[in-house]
Amino acid sequence: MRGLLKTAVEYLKKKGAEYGDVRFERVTTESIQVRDGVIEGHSTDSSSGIGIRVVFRGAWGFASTHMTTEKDALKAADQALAVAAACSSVNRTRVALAETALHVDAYATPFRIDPFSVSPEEKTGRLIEVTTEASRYKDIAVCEAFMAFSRVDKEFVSTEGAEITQSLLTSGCGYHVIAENGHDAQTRSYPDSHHGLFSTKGYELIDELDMMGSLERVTGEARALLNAKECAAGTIDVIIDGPQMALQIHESCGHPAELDRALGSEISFAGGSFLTTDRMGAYRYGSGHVNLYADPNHPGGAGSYKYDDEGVRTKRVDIVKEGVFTDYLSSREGALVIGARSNGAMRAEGWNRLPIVRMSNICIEPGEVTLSDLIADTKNGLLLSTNRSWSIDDLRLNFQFGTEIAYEIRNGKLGRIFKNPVYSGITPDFWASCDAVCSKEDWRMWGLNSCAKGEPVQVIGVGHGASPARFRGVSVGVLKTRGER
Amino acid sequence: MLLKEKILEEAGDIIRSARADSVEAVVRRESASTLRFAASSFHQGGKDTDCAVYVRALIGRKIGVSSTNSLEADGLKDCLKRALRIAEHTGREPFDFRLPGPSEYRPVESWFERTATVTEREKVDILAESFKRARASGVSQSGTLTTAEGEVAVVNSKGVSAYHPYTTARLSVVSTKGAASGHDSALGKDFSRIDIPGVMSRSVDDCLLAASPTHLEPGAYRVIFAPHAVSELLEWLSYTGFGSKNFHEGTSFLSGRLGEKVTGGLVNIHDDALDPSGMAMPFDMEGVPKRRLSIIEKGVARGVAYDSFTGAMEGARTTGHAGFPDEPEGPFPEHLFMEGGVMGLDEMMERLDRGIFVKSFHYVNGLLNPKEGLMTGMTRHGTFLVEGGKIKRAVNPMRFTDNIVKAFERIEGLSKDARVFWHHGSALSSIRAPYLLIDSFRFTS
Repeated sequence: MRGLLKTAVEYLKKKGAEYGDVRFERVTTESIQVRDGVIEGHSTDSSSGIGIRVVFRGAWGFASTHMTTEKDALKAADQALAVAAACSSVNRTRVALAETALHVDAYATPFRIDPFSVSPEEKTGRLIEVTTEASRYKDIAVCEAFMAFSRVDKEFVSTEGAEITQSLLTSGCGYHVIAENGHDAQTRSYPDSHHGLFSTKGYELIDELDMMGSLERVTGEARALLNAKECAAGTIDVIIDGPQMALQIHESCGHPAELDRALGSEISFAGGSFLTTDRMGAYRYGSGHVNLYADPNHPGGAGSYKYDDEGVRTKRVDIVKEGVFTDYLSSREGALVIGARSNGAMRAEGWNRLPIVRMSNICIEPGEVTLSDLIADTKNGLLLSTNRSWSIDDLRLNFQFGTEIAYEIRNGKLGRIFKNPVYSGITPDFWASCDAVCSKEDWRMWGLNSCAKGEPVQVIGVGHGASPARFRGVSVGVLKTRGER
Repeated sequence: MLLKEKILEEAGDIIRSARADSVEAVVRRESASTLRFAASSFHQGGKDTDCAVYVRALIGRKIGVSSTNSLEADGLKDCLKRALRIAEHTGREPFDFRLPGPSEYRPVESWFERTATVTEREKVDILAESFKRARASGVSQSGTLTTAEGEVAVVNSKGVSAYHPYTTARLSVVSTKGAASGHDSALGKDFSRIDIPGVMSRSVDDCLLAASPTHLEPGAYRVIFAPHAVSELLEWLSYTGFGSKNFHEGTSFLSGRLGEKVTGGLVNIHDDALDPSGMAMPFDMEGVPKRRLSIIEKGVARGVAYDSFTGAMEGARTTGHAGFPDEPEGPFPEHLFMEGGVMGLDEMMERLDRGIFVKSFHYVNGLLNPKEGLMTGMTRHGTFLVEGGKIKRAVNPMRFTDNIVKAFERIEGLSKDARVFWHHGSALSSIRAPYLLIDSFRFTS
């Protein structure tokens, strides 16, 4: 394949492209879904093709094909050039790219057990066991469990001379139970909602997550929620647990830190960002306890990779340092606009999509206090756990998130549980109210495989290293009383 | 270029060579072209050609699904092998699932030459004319223009042989000036019938109308929702409530309530893939003929969407709503219609008297409490205070949090005009929605 990619690159040069890159990807996936011991779906997919991106006459063009002969690749190259030429006739500015080091390298995700070598019986057997066992508990109407694996083998060659091979392996699993009593239905998930936890690891992840070991607690909480009171509306201190912190970071830090949003490229779909370029380096994003960073090199993150899809070597980036907004997730084109170099955030969902700025692993630095000490230090509050709903405005300011469960904290001790908790806020005010982040022992890398962005929509895996954190005076609940009008 | 013969032949070969009790092949090929623009400049443009072949093999009560994007013999052989391997080694289903047999399909007009052949240059030139006009008003434009041509086929060992070619064209544009924005969109099968200058121009008008927005206190207001806003609420109602999976899991607001009045008597929602005003298609992805499904009729719950698999699982008949075989969330209505009423927009505004006119929503989420239909979201691209039946001023985006099923009980009027929008971002599905006038809708911030 390398020869074909080089041929296409030479063709782009001959045609006068100012820049070009050719990317081949083979994506292999397997997913299994089991409900109450019944296999709802067990499928594999294999997809491969070539994507060709050019800057020609000062404009971008892209074309892709699933047919990987030289003839088809060169046809795609011509299509990409034609798109760029058409756009160039209208655009008033010319595309320019920040310089980047050129690499000839290979990288592969480290793993112990190749999930694609594990038998279908073993995989389905685990999910059947979890879901069958769960359905034995009273009031558990449904237990649905998931496993998914993907391997992306990609080759990247550019007109500038980069030649990079990467093989990225991702595994994930999880389950949820729904307790139901005819009037109400309550869900608890493990280890996270959104189909579980995803990680650039092998099948060893499935053992690490020990789904069976969590079953008694998870089913018990779902059942208990049926008889729990609604979370009352008001203003209260909250501790947000790890998986919900992951979502909070994702929506209120990761997305607004995407430079393409700040520069207006996504204004018609995903939206813009309150983190405008004039605020970089000075804007007070949160309290001094808040340190947020991107690290694509963190082992095991769902957004871990060595090179992005522009061939840029990734590095750790401080997005928020001691509460101050310091940097973006960037592309080569965007980085030049802010006088910087790309930090390697350009990723495509697959060979047939343009790379766009994406989160990698966006994490919060752990603090000093343990979760148990933080609870003990909270007089009157709520511990909110596991995301259930999410909504935020197009500048990433006004948010409202729901969680599966709230645990009351009274005089430093966990008490009753409440159902249907919701909290809301304005991003910088909310992060300014953060007065403690839990320590390393409560920190883990969470992973989602469902971050969507762009048109056509591209869905990609992202990691979020997080530990629980406390926020003072947060608005919770939306309905004052049930049925109130 | 359509590949009907090749696709049906390849799918037929898979069926004939499979050593399984029954087998199904679903093939989709699509060539799409997307132009994205921001600040009246093209920043992303691409052409994408891909195909997908899904093989579902049944051995006894074991089912294996595999897919590939190769139409070459080796790739298809490997795909079949993987599906058979899963079917041989996976767990046995406790219910008797059978592939459907052959049917007659009602033809739908779905493929238009102009959509398949329009060039990037032509599209760029048309949009550029609108950019110029918008600039004259100090407005810049961002959006997406997509055209696609493709075909889908379903073949199985029971004799199903279904084929459907299609084209689609979609324009979505946001015009901005300072903090103000306006949005409009169009969706159709025939590119030549997409009124690009009209869509672009209406978004400019809305943007200018939305200038200098001011704060409005949250609370309960009378509202008119434009069709785009209504379509987003319907999409979430469908996702959380109209599929058989949620229905049987007990999380749908329709669970256990078929035949009961669940919302206001003015609410009529159905699915009809054969209605040419939507993105019509003649069969589902199991080759079952499409037919009308009544979901809510005069406020009474009537039905939810099944495919053959969930039908077998739950002891029900398919309603012809199978998606592609690897879709994990089960069947949903893909061609939704909320039936309109008799009112014109002017009459609705007069009836509103004082309230809020919402053009679009952003980031609606219906998982707050799907059993009750509780949702939240932000208004976007035009939120207006109406007084005396006239738009008084633009207001800042507001967050709503309300029970949509209950809110639909307070519908006071529906427009006779309706618009069609993409559903699930797919070229093969759509939602048609009218304007709604609703009393006492809750905005929370």
